[in-house]
Amino acid sequence: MYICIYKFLMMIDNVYQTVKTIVNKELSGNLTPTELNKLAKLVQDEIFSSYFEDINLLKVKQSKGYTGLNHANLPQKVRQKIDIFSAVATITDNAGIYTLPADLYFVEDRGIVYGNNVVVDEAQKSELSFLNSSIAAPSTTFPVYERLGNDIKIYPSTIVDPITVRYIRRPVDPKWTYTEVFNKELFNPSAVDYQDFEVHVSEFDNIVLKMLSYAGINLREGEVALYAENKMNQENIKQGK
Amino acid sequence: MPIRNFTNLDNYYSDEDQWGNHQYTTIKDVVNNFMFEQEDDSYVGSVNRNRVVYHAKRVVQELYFDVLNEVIAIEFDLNPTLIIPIPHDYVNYVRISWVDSNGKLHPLAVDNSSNLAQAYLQADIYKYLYDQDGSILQGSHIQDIGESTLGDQSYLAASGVSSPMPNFNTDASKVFKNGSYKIDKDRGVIQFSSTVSGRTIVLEYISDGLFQREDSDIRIHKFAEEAAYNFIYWKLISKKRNVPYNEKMRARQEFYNSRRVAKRRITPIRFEEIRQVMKSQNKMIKN
Repeated sequence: MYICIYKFLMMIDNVYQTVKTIVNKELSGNLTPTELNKLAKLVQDEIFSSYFEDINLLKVKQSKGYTGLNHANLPQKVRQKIDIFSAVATITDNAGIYTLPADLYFVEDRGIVYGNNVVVDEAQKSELSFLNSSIAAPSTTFPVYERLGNDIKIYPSTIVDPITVRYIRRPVDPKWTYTEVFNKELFNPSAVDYQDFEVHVSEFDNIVLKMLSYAGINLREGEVALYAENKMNQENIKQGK
Repeated sequence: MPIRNFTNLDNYYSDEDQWGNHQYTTIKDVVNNFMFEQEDDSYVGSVNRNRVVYHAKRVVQELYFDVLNEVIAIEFDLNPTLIIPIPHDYVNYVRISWVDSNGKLHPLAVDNSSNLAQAYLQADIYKYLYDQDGSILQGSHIQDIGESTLGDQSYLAASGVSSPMPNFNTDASKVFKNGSYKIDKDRGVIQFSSTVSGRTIVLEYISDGLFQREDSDIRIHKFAEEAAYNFIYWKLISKKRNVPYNEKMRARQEFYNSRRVAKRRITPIRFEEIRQVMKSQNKMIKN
């Protein structure tokens, strides 16, 4: 029980210890905390961005009847992994422009809403001019927005109410923090800048394998990298990717 | 006026604008329901809402034309020029009548024999005259539509009839007991015969259901709601390359079927109405 909680709450340390155990078992080299933190960010981002492709593939499978309900509902499981990063923010009008949250990764489908749940739909730039002169011209009932970098512009411009944005935020970079005791790094999860992995706990094995793959390259240990790659390929085949 | 659900009926009966609104559903609800209805593997699962709004408004227009039977009636006193502008939201007329002091309607007849052609201005050598932009100058062609009622002596005289009573020489199709009118679509006016000069006219017409209405106020009858969903779906897939032809045809058929059902529900054949109309069939004719 203790091990499980430890693994879930401080996954980064567990990952670090596991990776170190594997790469150091034959004195192949060492992975410093700085290197670990860089690789941890890289791996977490890689896993996080793969969710969107995964859910698409799984939904295609679902539409063909290859997934089931409850525990066999794989698209829902990936959805839950993504939902860890769901966020809601309220943004306000600034001279006709609304600035999106700084940690935004993707805006949810129909995730921009104002007033009493009036959805502000996204308009393609290529159709905006035609849209404005069609019978479906934007109105306060059916408003649209145009994305301009990290800002949005809402049509019609009479809408100046605060906007609610439902979005997927970027994962916060993981950071393994430590204190030096007798020239040795001792894990310190109480540090202010400590940050664990944010991805779902089920990704532990995946993180370790990916870390090993990068660590193997970093330490110029081709066998470690090869082992990790083979292991990941086996996992992918099992999952039908 | 947005359609509301009432928990306190007092709010309904005390607000005239809400009376009868339960018959209708708003286009906003139609669009939201349609979006909600779509699943991941639907042909239109990832459709842009703007396109749904566009087709939703198009179906409102289509259904207003010949299914919904939403006839708008306006009453006005005819001015001495005998011309009125076509109403701002007019698409086509249903009936034009004058109303008597008892409130009974007397339908006017359309007079297609009157000249409403554009009158080009011509010089003395019959050449057309142009303005500085090169457009042909036009003169006034407005003339009174000929009197052609049964009691109109001048019309009968012009028809070669001396008796005030119609006879077999009279072209009955040009005899307008209640007066007549002609619609000039190009100029956007309705011109009346002088027979109805000074009378109160009732114009019954249909609109497209969209004009000068806020999107939140656009609504359709609930009987036509299913037809609206089917139309939106059909139109959304009709231009898609990856949708099989038979699905497009099925969707088209589904729309026309639901449109037929909507039309039948909105204008039902009621036994009592038939009996009322047929009452006169039992009248004895005495010689």
